[in-house]
Amino acid sequence: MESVTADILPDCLIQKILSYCSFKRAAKMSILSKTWLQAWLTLPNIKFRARYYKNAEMTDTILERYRDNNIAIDKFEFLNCLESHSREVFFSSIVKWLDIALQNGVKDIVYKDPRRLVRSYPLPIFKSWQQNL
Amino acid sequence: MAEASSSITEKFFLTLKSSDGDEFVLEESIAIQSITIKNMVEDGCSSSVIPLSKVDTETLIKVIEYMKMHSSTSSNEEEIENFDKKFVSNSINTILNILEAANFLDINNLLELCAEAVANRIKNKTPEAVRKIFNITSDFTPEEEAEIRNETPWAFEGNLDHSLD
Repeated sequence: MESVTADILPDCLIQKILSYCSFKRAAKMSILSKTWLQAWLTLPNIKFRARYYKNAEMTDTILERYRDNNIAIDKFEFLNCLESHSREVFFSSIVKWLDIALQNGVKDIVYKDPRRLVRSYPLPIFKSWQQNL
Repeated sequence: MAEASSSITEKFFLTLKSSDGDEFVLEESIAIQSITIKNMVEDGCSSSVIPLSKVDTETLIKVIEYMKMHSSTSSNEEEIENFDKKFVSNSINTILNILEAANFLDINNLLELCAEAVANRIKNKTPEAVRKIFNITSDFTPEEEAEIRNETPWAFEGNLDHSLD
């Protein structure tokens, strides 16, 4: 059988395959070739799990890259497992992140907060976003 | 061959032609799981043979098998699940060909099934093995590759599988 070459496997199929890989495994695939690296850097579905402060920083760096390069975002998922002392960092960042996601065309936002960190946060911003969506 | 008919209950048939020139006659109701074919039928382009220049015979046989199983009213969920499991155990090259065909024919379920199967098959492999599977020649310089490995060292930890299927 004729084998598949990187040239004829379109970007959308590479991203489709990457969407079924975990973050770590998708990252590994970025070393295959420049096409795969590019596909990984522009994945439209992005999912973050922040347990420590540095995870939040990484989320911030990645989202800034999406903003600066105008990369489309379909789905933004954030799993908030931050310790309560990182609350301030989170509050100042989440507004910015949601703003970038919305600017870049997000259709689906998922927020999970197993520690209920945001329970005491005034939520008018979320309400106004819901209206925009 | 979609023939004009006065009876609503009569079945319509389409002829699909692979890139190798083989023709397959398929019930229209089954074939239109492919949005590409459905659009052709709706545009009236399906009265003769539908040429599928991007799908070879071996791949088209598999795609038709899938569409028959997934449209048949007699197959129950368990049968379909077992069929899908067996389907993705085909060689990875076959799955990649089907993935591309599913993309061209716009059969979303099949596309998702194959993409997930490919992801599962390559997830524990070394970059070198995955490159061989996809027939990719790396266009990174050794320096660039080292830089990527340095930036994301956690991505390259653990035992990896060198096999090609």
